[in-house]
Amino acid sequence: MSPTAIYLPAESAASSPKVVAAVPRKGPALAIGSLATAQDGKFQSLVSDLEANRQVDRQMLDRLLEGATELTPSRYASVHVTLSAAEYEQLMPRISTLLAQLFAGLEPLGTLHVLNLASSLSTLPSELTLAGFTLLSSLPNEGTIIAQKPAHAIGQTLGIKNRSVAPAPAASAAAPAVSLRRRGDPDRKSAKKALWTLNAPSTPTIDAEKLLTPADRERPVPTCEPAVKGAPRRKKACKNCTCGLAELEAEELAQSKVVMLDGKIDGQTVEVEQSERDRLLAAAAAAPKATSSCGSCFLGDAFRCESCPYRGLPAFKPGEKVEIDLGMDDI
Amino acid sequence: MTDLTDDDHPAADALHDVLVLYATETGTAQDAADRAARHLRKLRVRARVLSVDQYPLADLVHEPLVLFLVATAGSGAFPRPAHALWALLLRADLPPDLFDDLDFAVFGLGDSGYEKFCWPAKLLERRLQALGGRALVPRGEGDDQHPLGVDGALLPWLDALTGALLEFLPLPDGCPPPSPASTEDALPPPRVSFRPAPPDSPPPPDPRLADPRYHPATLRVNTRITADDWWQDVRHFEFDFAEDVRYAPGDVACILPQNPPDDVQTFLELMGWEDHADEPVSVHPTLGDQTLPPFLPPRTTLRALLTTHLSISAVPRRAFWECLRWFLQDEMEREKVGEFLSEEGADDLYAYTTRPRRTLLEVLAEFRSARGRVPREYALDLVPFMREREFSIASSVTRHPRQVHLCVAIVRYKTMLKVPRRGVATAYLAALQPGACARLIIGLKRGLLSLPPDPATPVICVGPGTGVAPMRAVVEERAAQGATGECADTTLYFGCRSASKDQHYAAEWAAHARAGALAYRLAASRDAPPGELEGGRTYVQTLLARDAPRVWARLRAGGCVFISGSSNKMPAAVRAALRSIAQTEGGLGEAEAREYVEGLERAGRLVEECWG
Repeated sequence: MSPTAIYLPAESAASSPKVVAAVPRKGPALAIGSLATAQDGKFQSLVSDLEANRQVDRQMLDRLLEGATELTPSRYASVHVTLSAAEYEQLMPRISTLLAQLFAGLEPLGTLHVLNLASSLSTLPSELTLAGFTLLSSLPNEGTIIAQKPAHAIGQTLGIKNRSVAPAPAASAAAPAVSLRRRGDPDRKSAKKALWTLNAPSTPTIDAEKLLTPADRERPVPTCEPAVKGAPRRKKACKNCTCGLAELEAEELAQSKVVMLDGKIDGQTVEVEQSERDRLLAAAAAAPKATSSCGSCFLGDAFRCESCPYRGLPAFKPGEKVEIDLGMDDI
Repeated sequence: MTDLTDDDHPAADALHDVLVLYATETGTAQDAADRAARHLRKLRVRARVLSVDQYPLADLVHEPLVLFLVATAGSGAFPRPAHALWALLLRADLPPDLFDDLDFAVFGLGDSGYEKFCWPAKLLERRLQALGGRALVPRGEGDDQHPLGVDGALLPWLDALTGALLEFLPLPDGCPPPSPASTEDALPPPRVSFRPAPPDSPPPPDPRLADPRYHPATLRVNTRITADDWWQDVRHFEFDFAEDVRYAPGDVACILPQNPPDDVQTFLELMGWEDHADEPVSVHPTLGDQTLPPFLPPRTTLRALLTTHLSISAVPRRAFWECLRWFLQDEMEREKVGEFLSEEGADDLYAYTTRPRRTLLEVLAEFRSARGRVPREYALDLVPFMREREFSIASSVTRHPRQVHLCVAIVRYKTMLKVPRRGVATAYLAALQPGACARLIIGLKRGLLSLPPDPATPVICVGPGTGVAPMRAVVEERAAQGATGECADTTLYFGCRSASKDQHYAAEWAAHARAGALAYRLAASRDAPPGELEGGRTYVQTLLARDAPRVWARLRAGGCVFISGSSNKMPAAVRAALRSIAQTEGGLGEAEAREYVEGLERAGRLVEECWG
């Protein structure tokens, strides 16, 4: 089956990906109007547009809602609805009934076009989803929403008929300022769950970054306080350090990367920085009879002073030989 | 002790059952979630603490109260366990009242040194609010740069949360509201108990094998692919599966590393646990609100726990010290830990552990007076959990059925400590000897990249260093698809330092290029001929800029750009190059070019898979 929807590329590659537009297939169409749109001519102009290249059936909204007429299952390639803003508002409590009828009347891959929408009907997309439609485009500013019946009518299992209408948001506003907001309406709960878990990979996504406020985009600016003698030193330089600590750290890092290979293990001997080698040699020479004037050197770095010759070496016991495997030290 | 038995009244029960979801890659957010749960316990609130990928997301619309603790991955990205949740939340068709039954609070973990500080937490909070959720307290932002680390913001956030929660869940009369700092004023019971298990029962199967994404594998190839005299050791690994496996280019292989047996033995001796290390035990959670290591089998031994499930080579976190101090017998050691945990001593703790990357094992060699004093059950409270590591798969399964290849840089570096530091996972992999004995379990999971469905769509891969791993999968798969033409639709920008030393898979790229399946561009940053350096070193972004008309033609044709590698300056520089191409070649203004590149990203045509 050829797809009904023709995906038009965005007008310009420079613009962000836009919602797709769909062009109805040239099969039988159903136009649904109302008293208001019949009076102002919108309904007639819709019908004459459609009649240019296909067969068009006409229905008035009231007749469908009252159950005075029943649509032939899977008859229409497209259904087009045009109502006034006020009529859309009045329709909302009964929209699920209408959508279920239209869903049944559409053939698989048939499209539903809801025209002249007031921008306030923000829940219509979710109602459509609940009724089993796949949203093809929603252009609230242009007042049109296009939805499609899936190829396989999985929507019939998803469609939630006769579900109770969500209570107005005023209910929560009237509640005490602090209370956990729980509403026990089971229909509403299952409707929400159906929406939330609907698996439609092609669903358009929002640009979440646009939700962030300017304050959200800020980050704390690390303060860089010069080291004060006697005060505890901030040992971690902040990213934009100006107090010299970053340079100190960089210097320590550079020194720590001095290549040292241990000749004892695998026979390799490699030059190390003179001062470092002297220090290590002194530490190793002292190790067999390791003593400590402060009594803390054996205990490890946690208890050694800043200038301890053993810093960086593991803890050891007094008199114990300091053993350290530098053999793999090949960086 | 607070009694948390179930109340008959369902609503009251729900009140006392708060969901705590964390999203972590390194475990810090998990730690914070455990900490939050310990605090909630004092408020008589029972927490269910779960990684967001263990939670059935369908139920989220029914939760009344959820705390989210969300780390920041890469440059402002969601940690992988949160990807599914975030993908759901991003859908444009969600109604604005979807979460109007939800009260929530978000705590982010990040590093203010990065531009997109706590970005996922910020996005999550704003999105939930846009869908009707109510934030109980303002978002907390844990900053790695804070002297107290995450705790610097976590404790005030828990304080605020306490105030908000007590509004609906008042404590019995006369109970003072606890402060988070006082949460740790006594030694908590261990989170698990061990019970003797029958010694002769066969070991239970690895829990991972119950997940269809996990497969037993054996290592067949472990080869160094950088020159022998080169400073960096990069390995090519090939694993064999006994069964057919499915994965796509861009997918990742998850591997749970093991600690070397010597390290485990040393740890057991330092704790005085060596005599009981091999007794079979069954592990039972005792605190329902504290998390356990992933993939913990019901029966094990202490040695096996310390080998596979606990990370004794991790740098100890504050939770380690908070637990250890209760067992230290030596006055000086106890005093030192007290200092480390105080605000004034935070810098000293940082200088002692975090900066030199001192391991928990090394710390225990210096704080020895707890030896023989710590009940074995506290192993799971002292030691951080071992975490799976994710590696971008470097092979196409079409080309190599029943195999997974990895391209991994072996992590080794020096700090002020004389013993070199090693990456836990890469050291484990590097030491594996190929052969039937090298058995392990590999999980195959979705990555961020995915190939365009139409093989004719141009693909531009930017993968310097080991970032080339997923690109090898892409190139192999597209070559196998026959996506070749007069002008190859696949372009690879590879960056290294030296063409002869660390140009990974050079011969393969040349062969693909000869076959017309690949346009290969090499940026060898340190190989520049004399005199050319004035223009700066050549990086992948330099080559992109040089290829501007070619790149633009492919973007105009609906092409995709994949970026993979270290999340340093490279990904940002590549984006800047693309923006500049959109300006010079597409005639877009600066703002339009920015919007164009961001649009590519939203449309899934520009994908970045980078790691820190």
